Amino acid sequence: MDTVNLAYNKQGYAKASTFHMTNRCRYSFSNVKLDSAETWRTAMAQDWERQGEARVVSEVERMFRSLAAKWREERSASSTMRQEVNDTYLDIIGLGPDVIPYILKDLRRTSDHWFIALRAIAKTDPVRPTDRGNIERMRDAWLLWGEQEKYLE
Amino acid sequence: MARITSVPDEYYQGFVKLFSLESLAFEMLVNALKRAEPTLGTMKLANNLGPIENLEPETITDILLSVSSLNNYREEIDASVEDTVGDVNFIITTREKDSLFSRPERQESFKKRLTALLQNEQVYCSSKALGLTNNYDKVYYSAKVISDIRPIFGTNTADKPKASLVTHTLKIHFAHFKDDEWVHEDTYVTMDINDIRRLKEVLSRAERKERTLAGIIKEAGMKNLSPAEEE
Repeated sequence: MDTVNLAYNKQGYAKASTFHMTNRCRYSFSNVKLDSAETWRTAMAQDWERQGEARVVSEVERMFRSLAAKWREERSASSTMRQEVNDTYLDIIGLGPDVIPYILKDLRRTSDHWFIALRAIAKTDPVRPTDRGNIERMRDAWLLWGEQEKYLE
Repeated sequence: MARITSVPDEYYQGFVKLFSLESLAFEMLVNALKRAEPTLGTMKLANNLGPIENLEPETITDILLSVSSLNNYREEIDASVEDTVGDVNFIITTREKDSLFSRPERQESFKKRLTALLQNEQVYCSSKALGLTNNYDKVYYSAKVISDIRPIFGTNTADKPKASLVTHTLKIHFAHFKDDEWVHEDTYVTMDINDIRRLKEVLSRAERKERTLAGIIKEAGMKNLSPAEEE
């Protein structure tokens, strides 16, 4: 009998064992042991149903993710741009305060260089002057600020 | 066999745009790609295409980034182009409610377009080149040297220091891949002046090797995608 094996991890995404660094991203896949594409698709549609509304993404989040993906690709391609604020980064700042929760979530996961954007949008800087340059402490200061300001749960 | 079951939100719109594109605009995009040379990354490739009539630069970037990410992922999970195209078509046409997406002829056209772009040499080579530059556990971002004078006190710390030492700490900022994300970190290495001199020599040697290899690439008539040549 045909069997369908939908192996998602906690976030709803399957993990791959090999990768391409630049475009490592959350596509998901399943290992399917069947000949009938239709059977597989029916199972897949049922799985989406189970995931339900959890997959609904706000317009700001979608724009943030799209711009962040572009910014990361641009930085990867140019070592001189790795530290610099470029047009795409400015576009992210242009999304305004609504984007703060998404930046903070990304910062929590990646410790990436969101400090300039956060300072520009939030118009504050919770990082102590002595901690500037220490990425871990800067991240922690912003995450604490995010919790206090109710941007993060 | 591996089948794709979802598309990340950051790339989803690129596929929707490819689906909705007018035929003429798609043809012009393919023609522009034919004239282009591979670059380091698809963002740069999109920028190098220049203006295409009836196509917003953002649309070109979104489409090429989505295709490039899909191609890399397809290779990663060893899925065929045909299956991949069918799966993405299925995902989009199931999620999108507009009647445009339920038309069989538009779906066929989308599959052909996506197949053509997945097999496009310029898109493939550009994303592959960028993938190779980052295909290591850790990727360098920046460095800084923090220099210090360290006083050396004698047994009585109330007395002035007896001697002092200059120390250097090399701070390297890098990103590494962990739990599906690029995570940024710093690492610190202590060095003395001799270490710095040796490191300078090693780096100068690497620079000379880059120049030699760039010459070999040029002689072979291949395009050099090294950032030094591109920027």
